[in-house]
Amino acid sequence: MSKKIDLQLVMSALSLIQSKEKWNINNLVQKLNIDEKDLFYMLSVITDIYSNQGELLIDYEYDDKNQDLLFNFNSSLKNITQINDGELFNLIFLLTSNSIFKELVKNNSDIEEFYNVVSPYFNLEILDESNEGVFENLTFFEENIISYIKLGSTEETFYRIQPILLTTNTDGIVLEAIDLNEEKSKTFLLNRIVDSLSIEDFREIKKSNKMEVVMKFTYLNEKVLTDINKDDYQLKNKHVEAKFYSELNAINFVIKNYEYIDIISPQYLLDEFKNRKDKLKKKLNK
Amino acid sequence: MKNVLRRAIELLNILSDNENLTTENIKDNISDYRDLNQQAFRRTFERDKNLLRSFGYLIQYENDKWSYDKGYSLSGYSIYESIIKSEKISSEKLNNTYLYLKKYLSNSNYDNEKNEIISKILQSINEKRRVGFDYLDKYRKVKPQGLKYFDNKWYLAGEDNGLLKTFNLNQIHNLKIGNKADLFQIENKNFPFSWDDEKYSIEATIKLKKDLYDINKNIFAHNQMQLELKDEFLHCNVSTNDSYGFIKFLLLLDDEIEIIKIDSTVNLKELLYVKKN
Repeated sequence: MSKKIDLQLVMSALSLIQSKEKWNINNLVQKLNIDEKDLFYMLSVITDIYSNQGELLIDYEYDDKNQDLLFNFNSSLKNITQINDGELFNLIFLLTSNSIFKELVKNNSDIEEFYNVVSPYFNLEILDESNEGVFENLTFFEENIISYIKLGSTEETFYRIQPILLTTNTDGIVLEAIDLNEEKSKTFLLNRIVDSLSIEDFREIKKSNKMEVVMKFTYLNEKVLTDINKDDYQLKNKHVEAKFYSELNAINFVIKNYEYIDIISPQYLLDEFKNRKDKLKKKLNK
Repeated sequence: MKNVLRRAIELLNILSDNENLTTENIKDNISDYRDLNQQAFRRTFERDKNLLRSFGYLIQYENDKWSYDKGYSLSGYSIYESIIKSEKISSEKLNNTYLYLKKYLSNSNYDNEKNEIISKILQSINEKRRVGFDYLDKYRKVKPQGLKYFDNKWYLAGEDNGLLKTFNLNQIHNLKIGNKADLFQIENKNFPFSWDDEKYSIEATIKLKKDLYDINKNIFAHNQMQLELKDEFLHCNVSTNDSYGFIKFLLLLDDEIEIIKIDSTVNLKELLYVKKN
C-alpha cells in the first residue's frame, strides 16, 4: 500500500464517489491520483462501516468485463463527506501566492472558479513571500533546474529537481521535490529559490559532499526545539544532542536561536559563530 | 492503519449525525471501542480524536453551565456546507477541483494545536463569534476579523476593547469560541501590526545583493526604503525595533552585507552576547 492513503484522501474519495453510482475504475483512479491497489484497499476500509441505522454506509459491485464499479450509498453518507475548513484554508493560502496560482491555472481553468468561490470565505492578508517569476519556468513532475540559497548560506547552489508538491511548515511555504542528481526527496523553501533555469543553460552540477553535523547544546527556552525535527534530537535535562543535515544548516539554527542556546560542541561551530560575531562587532564599531 | 482509518470515519459518521454525544454513546456505537476496557478505550479515543484534529476536524466537548446537554460535537466544515448551499459551484466540481489541487498542494505540516486554533478562528470569523484565549499571561476576549501571514507566522487580527490588534498564533493557547453568533460585522481587509506606528530604535543604511535581501528580509520586522538598485545590488534604508532579528539578519549575511550607516538607541554589540530567558 502506498503512503498516500490518509483520512483526508478517504474522505475526499467518498465525496467524489457519491456524486454518481457508476464509476469506470480507470477514471476513478485517475481522479483520485492513486493506483488500483490503493483504491481497493480504500474500498475495503469504507465498506466495513455501518450507518447509525445499522446499514452499510457504502457498498459496491465490480463489473469486471466493463471495469465499472457500481455503488450503493446510505443517505447518511452525505453528512460526513465534506471538505473541512482547515483543508480549504490551506489550499486558498497556497493559491493566494500569485505565481503558483498562475502556474496551476494554466493547466486547469476550473481552479480559477474554485478560487473565486472559496476565497471570499477567508479574510486573509498575505504579505507575499514567493519570488515573482521563479515559477514561470517551473513545472510539476518534470525535470527543472533551480538556483537555491540554502539556510545559513549566502551562495547559490544549483539543483536538478522534479517538483512533487507544495506544502507549508513552520519555516514557510515548501516545495517538495526529488533531487535528480542525488535521487532522493528534498524540501526547498519557496522564498529561497532565487531562479529557475532552462535545462540548456545548466552546466553539470557537482555532487555536494556535505556532511551531517551533530551538535550538543543547552537551552534557556524550550521554544528553540520547535526549529528541529522531533526525530532529529535527543533531550536530557535541557542538554540537547541534535542532528543537522549540514554545517550550514547547523549554523543557521545557531544564529536564529543564539540568545537562547549555549553550544557545547562541535568546536568548529563555536569558532564559526564567534568569528561572525567578531566581524559584526567590528562593523558596528566603524 | 486500516482499523485507525475505519474508526476515524466511524467517529466522523456518528458525530456528524448527532450532537452532544457522551463518551458512553461513542463507546457503544463503535465496534472497536466496545470490547476495550475503560482505560484502553480512553487511550484509543484520545489518539483517534488527535488524528481527526490533525486533519482539521474540530471535536469539542460541550460543557456550558447554562446548557442541559453535555457531550462531544463535531464542527469545522461550515464553509463547505455554505458553498454548496449557495449553489455557486456544484459539489462534484468542487470535489473534482479539490482533488486535482491535492496532486500539487499538500496539508500543512503544523502541529495539531495550531491546526485546531486555525480551524476554530475560521469558524469564529465565519459565524462572527467572539473568541477567548490565553495570550502572554493574559486572558483576551477578541472579536476576530481575519488572519494575517508574515514572516512564516500566522497572526489573528481582531478587535480587543475597541482596538484592532494582531496576535501571534504561536502565543495563543486554550482558545474557546463564544456561544453567541452574529455578534459583530467584519469590515477590515488590511490589518496593521501594532508595531507599524511605533518610533524606530534602529535606523540603518545597508548594501547587499537584492536576492539575498529578498530571501532573508523576513528574519526581522522592519520598514525598508530603497535608495538604489544597481548591478543586482540593493542599497536601502531599514528601520526597525526588532533588534535581535536585525542582529540575526546581519550575522546570517556575514560578509555579504555592508553597513554604510547606523543609528541605534539600542546597544547592538551588547545584544550579541546577552542571553534571554
